[in-house]
Amino acid sequence: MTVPKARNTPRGRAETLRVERVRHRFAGADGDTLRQVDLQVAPGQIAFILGPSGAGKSSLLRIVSGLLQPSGGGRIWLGEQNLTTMAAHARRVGHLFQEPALFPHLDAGGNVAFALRYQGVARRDRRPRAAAYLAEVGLAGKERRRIDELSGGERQRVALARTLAARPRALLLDEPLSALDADLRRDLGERLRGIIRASNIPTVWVTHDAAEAAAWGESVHMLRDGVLTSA
Amino acid sequence: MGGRLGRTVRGERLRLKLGQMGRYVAPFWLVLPLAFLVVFFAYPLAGVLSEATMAAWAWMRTPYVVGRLQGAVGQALLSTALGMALAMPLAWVYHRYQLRFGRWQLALHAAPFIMPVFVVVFGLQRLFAGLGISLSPLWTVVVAHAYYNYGFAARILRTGLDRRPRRQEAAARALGATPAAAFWRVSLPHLWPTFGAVALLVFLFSFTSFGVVLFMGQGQISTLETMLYQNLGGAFPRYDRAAALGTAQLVLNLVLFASYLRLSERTGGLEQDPVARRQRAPRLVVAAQGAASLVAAAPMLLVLAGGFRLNGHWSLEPWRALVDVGHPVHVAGFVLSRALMLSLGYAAATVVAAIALALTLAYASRRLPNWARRGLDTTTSLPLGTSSLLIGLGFLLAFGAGDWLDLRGKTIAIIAAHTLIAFPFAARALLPAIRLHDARLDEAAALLGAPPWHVLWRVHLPLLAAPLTVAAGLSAAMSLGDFGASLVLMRPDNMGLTVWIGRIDAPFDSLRKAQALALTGLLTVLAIIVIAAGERAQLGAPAREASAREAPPRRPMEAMP
Repeated sequence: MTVPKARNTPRGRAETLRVERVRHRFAGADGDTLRQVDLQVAPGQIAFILGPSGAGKSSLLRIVSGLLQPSGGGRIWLGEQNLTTMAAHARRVGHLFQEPALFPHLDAGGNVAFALRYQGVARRDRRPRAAAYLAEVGLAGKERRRIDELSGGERQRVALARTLAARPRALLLDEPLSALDADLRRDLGERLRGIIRASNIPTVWVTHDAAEAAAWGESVHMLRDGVLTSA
Repeated sequence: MGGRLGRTVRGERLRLKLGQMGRYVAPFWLVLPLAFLVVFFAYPLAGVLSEATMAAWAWMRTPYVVGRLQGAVGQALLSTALGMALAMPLAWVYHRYQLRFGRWQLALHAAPFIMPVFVVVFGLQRLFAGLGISLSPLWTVVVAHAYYNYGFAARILRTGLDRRPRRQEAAARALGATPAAAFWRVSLPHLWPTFGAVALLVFLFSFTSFGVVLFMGQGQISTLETMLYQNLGGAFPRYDRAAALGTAQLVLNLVLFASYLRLSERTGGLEQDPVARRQRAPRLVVAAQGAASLVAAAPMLLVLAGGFRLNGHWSLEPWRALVDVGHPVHVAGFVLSRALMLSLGYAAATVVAAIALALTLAYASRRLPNWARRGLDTTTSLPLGTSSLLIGLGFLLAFGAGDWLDLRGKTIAIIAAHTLIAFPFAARALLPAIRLHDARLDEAAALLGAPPWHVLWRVHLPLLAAPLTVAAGLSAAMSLGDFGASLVLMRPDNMGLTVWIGRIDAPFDSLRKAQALALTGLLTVLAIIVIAAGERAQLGAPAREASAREAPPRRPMEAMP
């Protein structure tokens, strides 16, 4: 199994992710969490976003994936498609959280197969395909493992395989490695980078680790006081 | 923007608007459970209140009534003391030690709590007779109440003990405290509210007991319930006195129940430390626990066997007399299949209605602020502190001839009463599970392409399977075992098994007694199936993903009542 390239897009080719003038304020908050945020990420590019806790990094990702509606307007474009008003389940934007949020009633393979279902994969093909995705992230032969039998790093890999199985048109990574130890971070980080390059999809990666961002990112941004600036 | 794409975007905008509106519309669904409570709980109870005349209140102050009530308080205090004395060591054993089939043994101890009252009454009567024990009516009632309640009390206490602050205890020990001192000075202050809440609940159930006192008190022991029932029956029913008794009972119950809720709120503040691995039990503990389980099971086994025993011999005669309409001792009007089907039908309808109401309550209140949810929880728990007989009396007074809703003898009245009794149990099984549901799972499913109804079907439903089964089991058990409201509301043409058991039972007629035991055995089997289904569902429940932010998961059965 190879990592899927950016296909199945409305135009059948790789797309650029654009965030335009996104503004957001949480109910009851004193000021705007995000003020006029603009961002452009080319296919295969990784845009790192740094910033202090509470700066709105996760909120920005949630707005892009459709989990949060920007209260003050703005536009999200993927290629030529305006995602702003689309429901999260229709956007096909992959979003990997710090905590993997795996379905506890399904095993590792079942979690990945869950995503395949919505890709129109026939029931009989889902398990083998899920096993292949798991092998891709270094979990070959672990598809029958229950979630509570997996280590933290393995869970994060299952979450990654599950996100990739949904064949995302863009990828959002919200500190996906921060809960892992140094060796695992390096290993999974390398894998992630390889997968993103191979799949040629735009990726936004939120991290606290400036060194990691500087080492890997073609574009590094700083989100502070609701404003995104190039670092 | 092209025509088709433009339409899509407009459609998406509309969907989004509807979705945002849905967030505000969801709480309006609360109208359903609240309307149910207003119509079938508040309104009938207001009817009870209005029936109580000044003369009836004056009667309440007579030495006869006051003496009986003092006796009821004394009986409830003794029952609580004995029940807690049995529950505490049991809870400690299951907290401390790993026992083979420990989970099932604890379920066995807790089983009487949801068994029909006749299982406890007949089972203990046969156990005492078999062992040659002769107790005074007071002690018979006290032992029966303790047997009824000790297991469920032990279960809640065990959950409380499992949540004791081990890290703080370890810190105390590092400062030089002995294990006993660390437990005494660190954990016990945290555990007192749990002990208090459980004791209060046992007192409440002993004080409002009806069936046990009616059948085992030999007329010498009273509760507000039995006095209320006496005033409803006979050639000259005194509804005014029954209403005064009911009102007094209601106020007392609400005060006790509010205290229970306040105490149980204080039990929830602890951060969950990891539950320590239980120790392997010493042989003495295993043997003692085995013996205790045997004693706990004995009354139920005696009831099951009792239906096949007549005058000291094994016999199928009781069943023949039940089934054969032409049998000389067959009770006129009784048709086994019909009574069984009616009981199962009431139970099925109760399960559907109670779960539908509980689900509506849980989902509609998900986004409400904490204070509103607490208020709702208290309101919807109120029927739990109200006796089944009082609910029956309320229905009788509120939905009689000439009232806006005439439900006399109607099946719907029985189902509504059973639902009212089962609803708080179903709600308490489902609410924590739905409120603790990790919203990130819904988000993850949506991000993988699952539309909202798929999220409900493929994520919520599998995760709710265990609490749903428990809620269904408890609702069915409440309906199958209900005696008070059923006794008042059921007519000969729609009587279920429990009321028939009361009719068929004749203490000095061995065949009639054996028939009553046979029917009670049948109810016992049904209750065991229900309990086993609940336990199995919880065993198979998926483990939650560990997360520091997540409140500790509580098994629904242990959150009971």
